Amino acid sequence: MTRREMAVALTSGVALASAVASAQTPAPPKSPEAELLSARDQVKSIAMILMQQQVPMSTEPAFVFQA
Amino acid sequence: MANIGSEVFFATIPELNKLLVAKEISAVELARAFTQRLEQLGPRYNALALPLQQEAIRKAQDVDKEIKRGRLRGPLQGIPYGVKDLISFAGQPTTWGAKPYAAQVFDYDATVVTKLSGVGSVLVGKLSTVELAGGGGYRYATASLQGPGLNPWDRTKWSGGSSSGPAAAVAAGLVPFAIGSETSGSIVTPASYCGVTALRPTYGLVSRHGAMALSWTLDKLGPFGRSAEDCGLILQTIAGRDGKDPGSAGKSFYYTPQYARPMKEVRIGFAPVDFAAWADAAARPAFNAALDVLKQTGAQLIETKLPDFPYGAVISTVIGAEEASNFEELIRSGKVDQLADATQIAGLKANLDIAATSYLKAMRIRRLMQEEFRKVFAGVDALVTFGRNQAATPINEPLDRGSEAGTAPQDPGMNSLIPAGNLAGLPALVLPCGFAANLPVALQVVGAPFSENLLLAIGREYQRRTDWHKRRPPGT
Repeated sequence: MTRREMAVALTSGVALASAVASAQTPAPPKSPEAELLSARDQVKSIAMILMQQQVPMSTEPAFVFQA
Repeated sequence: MANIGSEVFFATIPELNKLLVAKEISAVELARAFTQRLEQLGPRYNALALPLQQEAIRKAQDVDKEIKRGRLRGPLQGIPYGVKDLISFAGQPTTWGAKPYAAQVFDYDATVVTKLSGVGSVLVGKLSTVELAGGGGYRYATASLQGPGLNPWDRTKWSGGSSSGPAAAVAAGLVPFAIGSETSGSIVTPASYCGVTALRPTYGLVSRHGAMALSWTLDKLGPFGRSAEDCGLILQTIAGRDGKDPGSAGKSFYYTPQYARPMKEVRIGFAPVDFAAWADAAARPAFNAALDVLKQTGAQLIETKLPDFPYGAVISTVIGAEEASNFEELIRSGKVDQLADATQIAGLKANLDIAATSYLKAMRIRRLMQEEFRKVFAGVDALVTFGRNQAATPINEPLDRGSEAGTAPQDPGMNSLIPAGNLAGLPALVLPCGFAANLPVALQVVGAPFSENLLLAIGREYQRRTDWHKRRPPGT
């Protein structure tokens, strides 16, 4: 998954217009430290999106463990 | 020695099979012609990872002996092919497109290679991939051991990723077919950009044994070919239960075009906003014409919406957590810094921070997605949208460059069908459907799990009425 795919998918249904507007031009290359900081911020923001989702307690994860 | 004209390099599997069975051409002649072409032209597109001429000629000699004895093994016998360089071929390097694994050699064949060898197909080369199939999220097309995948239609444009080599090699007539992989978009994107027919199978239908794992619950292997029919014939060979793949669905696939439902009974869901607004303006005429052709087949086109979920957040969490676990040693050892793409390096490192609760939440949302898609497929038989909303992008352009100002509609349409379809494990067929600024664009048709025969029937009907899948890049 490219960063572009992630950006497009992330904006579906949430703050679409403003997010796309801010993504009109690519960010300039960053230092490795800045890249890592940015990637960690993205992990946090994605976790926040997931946290806001309501999932019934009866819903099990979509993988199967078989003994 | 048969005279091999350029039409042979763009022939379909049934056409090549006919030549072989009639002994108008031998498997050795085919293997020699394709290996020479692949070695000569593959580097032109950065598509070739490893030539396998000697191995191919040896295999083709065995095939010719079988054909001579009348031992016919089906339409793929003697047909040359290539595999993405994350699929193992015993005794030869399998680099995963990444410098830290440049010298990696496995002592066994991937199941897909074993199956194709069993019907007499001839592996002629390994084809390039984005490093680690893009794991971590890359920013530039240069993220590959072979360099950026160059598009055979215009080498200043990207071939797409991460199955860059398979798509470019099939488009340029360097192999009749190829096997690639998709975790989220890695078959659909390069097939769309290169104008090649390709199939992403249902999760679990094709064994991943011997292929690099990026995301255990999302990875799929699938064919790139000249037509929907070619993809059906290939899938029939590579699908099936495999005890070596814990994700194997335990199902076989039989390509049965003779039992296809009449098209007038087929209901295809679409979102008008995809083609009216999400699609790049230059590509809209091609997409709208393609919808008209689908209507001409007799299929019912029904306005449909995707279930509302945060597909991007869910898929990046699932891939991120699984790849970080899988590549933990690479990341913690520091060897990850040998990768070519700085954004990808940072992405892999950061994904070690994904909390178990986030991953499990994502996997639970995925369960809800599956349930909602079951409801969608109660109302329609398939979904259609663009493969990508635009033609191939310039090779030097950062991949996180967004849409042009003011073009993003409020209605998401089916713009998220790539992550949505992958999260729900759904099959997708990519059908070239025209051009935008002299570059190919394509539709993707997505169906319920294990509905590959229906998708192929739609594809066959579409390709009976069009010739986009037969177009050849300039100079090939």
